Amino acid sequence: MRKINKSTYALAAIIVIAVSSAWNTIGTYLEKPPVVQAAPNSFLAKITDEFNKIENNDDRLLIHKLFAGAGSFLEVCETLDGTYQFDPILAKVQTSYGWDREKYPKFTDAISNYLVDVGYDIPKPLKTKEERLAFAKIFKNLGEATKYE
Amino acid sequence: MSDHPQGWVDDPHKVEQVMNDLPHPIFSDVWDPIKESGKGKKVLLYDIINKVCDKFPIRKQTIGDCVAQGAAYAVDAVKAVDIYINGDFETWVAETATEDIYAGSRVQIGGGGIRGDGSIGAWAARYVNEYGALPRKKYGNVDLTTYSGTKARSWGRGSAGVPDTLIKIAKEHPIHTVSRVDTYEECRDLIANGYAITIASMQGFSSTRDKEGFAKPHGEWAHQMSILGVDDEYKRPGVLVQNSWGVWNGGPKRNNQPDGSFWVDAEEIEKRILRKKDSWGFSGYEGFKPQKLNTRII
Repeated sequence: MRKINKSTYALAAIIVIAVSSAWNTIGTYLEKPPVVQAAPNSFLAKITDEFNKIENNDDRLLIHKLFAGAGSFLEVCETLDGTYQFDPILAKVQTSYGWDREKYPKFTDAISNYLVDVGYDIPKPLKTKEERLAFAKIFKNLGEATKYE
Repeated sequence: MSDHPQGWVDDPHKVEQVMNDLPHPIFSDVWDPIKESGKGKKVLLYDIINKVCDKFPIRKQTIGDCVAQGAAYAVDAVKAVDIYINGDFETWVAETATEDIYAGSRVQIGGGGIRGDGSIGAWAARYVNEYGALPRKKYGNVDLTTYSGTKARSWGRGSAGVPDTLIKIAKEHPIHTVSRVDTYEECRDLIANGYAITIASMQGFSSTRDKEGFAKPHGEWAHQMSILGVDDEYKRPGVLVQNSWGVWNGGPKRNNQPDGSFWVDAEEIEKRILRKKDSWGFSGYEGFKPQKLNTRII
């Protein structure tokens, strides 16, 4: 019998997020936030634009880690049945990092607009590898849009 | 009013009438593919409900609508299995409402012939199969968020029945098949494969569980409950019976069983309850697809 536990998923996600972005921990505390180059997609460009307005280095790093780590996690995760199951996991990971959603409302707006644009808001199954990779790509793109140069 | 209302109506003739309309009225006729698959196994459907909905619903009926309460528990179990075990692309909305099942069983299926409270197990099984079952929430101007015995009684009176607006929605969410269950072995194999069972009889049970969580047959109840677990690997094989009287009993528990439940020995469940021939196995549930996802994720 399949055993699923949301906390286990969250823990796995935390580990993936932490490991996948380990490289980025070097030079975490930069004197001045580096500017991220805008992506060609206008929604992603807007995200980058808002991201660059965030002055707190720790927050910038965490945001990037969350998105890049989510992309890496979703690429290899085969236990989720649908996209709707991921947000509770992400929320738990964010809580574990002490992150409050809507901390930067305009940045949240930009993320939300992009997610609507790519159809994230419509629940989809995650039964096939193609479906999983397509879902992971959404977060990979967010990771890129918030990546340090 | 009694703290322990019941409400099962013992009417073998009406059960037979329902069976004439079902494609697989007797489970033993279609048992072969899973026969003996539950032998020596322990499967706890209440545990699966717990995992899907976070908090196991402890139902407490206030009128003689036990037939709907038992059926609703069975629907809860089946939809939890669909989500958790079968991986269906569905979401748990809330525990199953009882008012529509109660009224629908009495009026839509039974034709409104019963005076006073009560219904028949076969009627409820037929209702959830033909008309469906709904989770507790608001449907337009009909609020099923919180249990209301008064509403159940009102809808179930005379020719009132379930409002048409609800029927339309409920029909999209039926239990796929229902079949009568007659033996412990059938129960065991059904539960082990993720099906749930309603049980109805005149048999009562002690309000004190023994050291192994079992309750002895005691007294007389005209009552429907549900089976939400089987333990055939234990030295004392039996089933977990979930009642709908809130926290009405006490004594030791086993396997983290829910409040209000008790284990019943295999031979007792067959001899004292299943032989009344109004106990029903419920298969899969046509559940609710997840709605739009939150995009404000950061």
